[in-house]
Amino acid sequence: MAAYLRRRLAWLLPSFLGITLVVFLAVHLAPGDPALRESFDPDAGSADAADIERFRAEHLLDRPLAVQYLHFLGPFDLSPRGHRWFGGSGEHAFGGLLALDLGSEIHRPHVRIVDELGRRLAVTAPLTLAAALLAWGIAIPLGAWSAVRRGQKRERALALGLFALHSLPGFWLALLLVLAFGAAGLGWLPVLGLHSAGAEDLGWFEWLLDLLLHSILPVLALALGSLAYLTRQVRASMLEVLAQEYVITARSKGLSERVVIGRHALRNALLPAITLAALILPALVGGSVIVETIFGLPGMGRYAYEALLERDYAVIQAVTALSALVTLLALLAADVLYALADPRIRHG
Amino acid sequence: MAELRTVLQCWRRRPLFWAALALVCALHALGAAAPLVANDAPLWLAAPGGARFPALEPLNACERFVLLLAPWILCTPLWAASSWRTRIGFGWPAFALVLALVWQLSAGARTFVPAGEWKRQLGAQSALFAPIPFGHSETNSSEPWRPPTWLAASEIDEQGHYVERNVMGHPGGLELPPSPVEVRAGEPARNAALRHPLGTDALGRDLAARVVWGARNSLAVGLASALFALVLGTLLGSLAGWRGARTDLVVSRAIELVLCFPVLFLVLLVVSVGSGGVSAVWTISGVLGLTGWTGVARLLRAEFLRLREAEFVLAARGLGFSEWRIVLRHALPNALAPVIVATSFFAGTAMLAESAISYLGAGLVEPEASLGGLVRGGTEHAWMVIFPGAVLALAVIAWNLLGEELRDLNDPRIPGRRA
Amino acid sequence: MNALLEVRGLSVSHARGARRFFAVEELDFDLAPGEVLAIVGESGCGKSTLLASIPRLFADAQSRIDSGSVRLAGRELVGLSEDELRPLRGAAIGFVFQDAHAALNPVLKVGAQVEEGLRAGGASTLELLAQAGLPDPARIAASYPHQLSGGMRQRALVALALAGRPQLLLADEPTSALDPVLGREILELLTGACRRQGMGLLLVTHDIGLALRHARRVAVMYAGRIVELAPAAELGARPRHPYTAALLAADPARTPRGKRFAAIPGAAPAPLERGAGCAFAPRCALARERCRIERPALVEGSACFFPDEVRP
Repeated sequence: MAAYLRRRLAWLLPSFLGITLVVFLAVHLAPGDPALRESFDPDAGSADAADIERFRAEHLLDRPLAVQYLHFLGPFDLSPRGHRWFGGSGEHAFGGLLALDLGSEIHRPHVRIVDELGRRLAVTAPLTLAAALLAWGIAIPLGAWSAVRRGQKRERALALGLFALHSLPGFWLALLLVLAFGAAGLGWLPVLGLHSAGAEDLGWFEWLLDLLLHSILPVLALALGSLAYLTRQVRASMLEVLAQEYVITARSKGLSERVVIGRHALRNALLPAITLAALILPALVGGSVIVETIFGLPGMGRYAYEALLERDYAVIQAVTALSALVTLLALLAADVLYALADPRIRHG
Repeated sequence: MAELRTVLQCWRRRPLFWAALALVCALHALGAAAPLVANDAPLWLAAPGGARFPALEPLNACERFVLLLAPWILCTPLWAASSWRTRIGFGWPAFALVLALVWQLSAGARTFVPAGEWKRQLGAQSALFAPIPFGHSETNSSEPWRPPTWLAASEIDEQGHYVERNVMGHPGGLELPPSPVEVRAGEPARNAALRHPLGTDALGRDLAARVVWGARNSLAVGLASALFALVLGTLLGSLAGWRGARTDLVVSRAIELVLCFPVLFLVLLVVSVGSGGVSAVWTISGVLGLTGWTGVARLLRAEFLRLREAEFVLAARGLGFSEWRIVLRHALPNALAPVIVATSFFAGTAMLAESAISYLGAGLVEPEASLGGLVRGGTEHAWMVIFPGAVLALAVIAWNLLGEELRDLNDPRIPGRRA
Repeated sequence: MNALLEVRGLSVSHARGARRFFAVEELDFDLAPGEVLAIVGESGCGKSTLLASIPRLFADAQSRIDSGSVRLAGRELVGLSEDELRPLRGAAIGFVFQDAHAALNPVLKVGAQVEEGLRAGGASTLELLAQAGLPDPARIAASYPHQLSGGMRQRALVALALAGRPQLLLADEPTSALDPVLGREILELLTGACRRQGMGLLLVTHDIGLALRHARRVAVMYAGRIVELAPAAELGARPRHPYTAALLAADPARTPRGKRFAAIPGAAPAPLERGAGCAFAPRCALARERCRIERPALVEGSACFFPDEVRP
């Protein structure tokens, strides 16, 4: 196992560089000139040449790509205000990803993206975690049941339902939930924001309840998006395991079906789920953009959406890089967990 | 005749597969024939100088080609059940359609006729209108946010008031003074049940027409992305599987890398930097293709790794065939089946992704809206949400069902498998 | 003496798609306590299905016992519900599988898997492993299946089958995946346990030589039916069915040096192709018109109309 882990860790650095490179290239190879757009004066109908130049210099758009990438990566700031070693004024010596500095918002240079992201993550992280737990919490028993009862009428109906759910657009589901449960429909649940108006005046218990009520629909919407896929994966894995001979061995010992399924089959079937849990992270994060926008939650996904409206690519770049890196780490963690869980790898 | 009988036998053995194929083809044919299905210009007009076809006049060559292929696509289930020769003979136009559909989306320049122009100019001539006699961008400021006309709640009297006071979804925001509904030439009556079967949006545009054209765009993006992912995935996957060792290592790491990214963020990133004149279609298809190739690549890599050691490959090598020939003629056809399955699934996934992007406003927006963009247009109104979403769901279900059935067809463990 | 296992008219069918076919048809035989009965046949003759049908451990949920009776120590097994049959598995019926690598759960320790089948008052896990011939049982018990060699795994599998102190032991080609030396050791382990504990052993194998060496009686199966059932010595010296003779002739171990290996021409009929008449007739040198029309019943241990004409 040590060798396996060493190999995985060895790939961490190249993968990290690869992710930063992709994010960087997505911005710099995309057709479009942000300098032109930012400097465009609607009244004058054109862009002032001096403004364009200033924007370019500030954001290093006139330097070679390699230099821009190194500036993006850090830890040294290579802009005119950057580190003295590279010809800068020394004002802002360190910057870039490695210095944990994700830059500032293009339209509000006083707002550091890192700070804002921290605030936003406090909303997105619990939301994503709750949705993941809900989705897995339903997918595992449902998938296992579905595999055991394969072919029966109820299972076939469930398979059909899951197939339909899998094919539905995520934003559509969320909107339907809003229509159904919101003020326009049944009116059971709030559909906007995390807190009702005047929530600061409530006692802590009512405040918590208010928060929970506001969270139900967003968490549900986000979980439903992955639920169908996860259930089908668990079912497929379970079916494969149930066809194995050691399941028959277990039965031949006279063990009850519950022990056979629970102790023998499920343990093996859930091994791939460890990796899957990390792999669906990008889907959950992407889904959070939709859900946070529809339900008005001030999370990281919504931040990206707002940045889109303002064409603030610095924010989206930061958010993308962060998500991808978190997923990379999650994949690594999943591999470690998998190695620990599967004795075939643990004891080589 | 005997051919038809074999076709029917094929259908009866695997009805779901043919239903899925028929659905996919019907939807694409509908999209391809959109100019004939929903148009504010008449299809046929008896003008003094002879018959005219106003609906077809503004179309460029590419779009006319697409129109021609619509009936061909519709007959796909028929010729797909026949022999391989028939399939290839009839199949290449469908492939051409895919390319043409995609191309015409980005080909902006076409003769511009203001929407509703023909209706205004129509005098006493006889004219034949399309089944949905509204254009996709034909506004009608006299009936904004009108619920589907087959609902009793949609009835409007002559002064322009809704007959029932509590109209479903009628917003309390924009309080326009009621005005009489303007019924133009060729349109059904004011309160006809089928005037606006899916309702109207903020500008009084018929939703049914916009759904047809929106479906056309959505389907095209789905196809384009799938093709892009297919080509890229085939190249990289076969390289990785065939060459093995270092190439495989690089490609596998690349796959892992791509999987780390939330696709939505990447698209938002590219859009926020600016498209610089490149049509949104290509931007989205490009990003979706660049992130979606992993599925196909993994499959092909596995297949090629296996096939590399297969006996018939060794035999071919022993006979001195060149590398390329072995790959193209011997290895690839065997690996193709799971790849087609994966592409079918990816087309559905791409449509979902594109619709989410358009819903957020980063994809195909006004006036050439896709289905996602249509939902964006009016989220507080049930009909604006339900109908475009339902059509989108139907398309995705069709692709997914086709993928599932194709997978079952190629699975040797399941009975009824076609050789 | 009361038979431990009495099988009468047993028929078992599988499903393939929409069609059903009989894997085993109208089987009759007995097994006494402490006796070793070998069932010999080629692939597809139904011997594994026969074994699986006794404790109803079918791999496919669509397989079922269509008719017949299986009595274990006087108790009828066919028709028992799953809840009634389950206590008998392991405790009354033990099963030894062919592929020890596939038959052991890769994520559980070997000791834990043996322990699951233990019955109160019987030997402990370590004792069972030791009895199975494993040196250092404690280390084996704490290991995972993939850490053991093939032979050790098969011994562990035997220990697992014996854990519940069953009265009847079913062994499905337990040595086919092993080298001959190891195979013989495993078989002696099984037969020894039978002798000591008075268990009946039903041994399925495709190797007739092996059957003759280790079993008291041998049943030869062909196309889902028993075609000969006789004590091993008799069967080896004077077979009374052409198929048995052919099997004996084809056994490499019995082919004298320098002589070519004999093979049986043709192939066994697929389950759905079996028609009326003797199933072996197409390949039989002694076949006559009667054989093709009428199916011979198992009479005095031979299902052939002309048992005396068979030459060994």
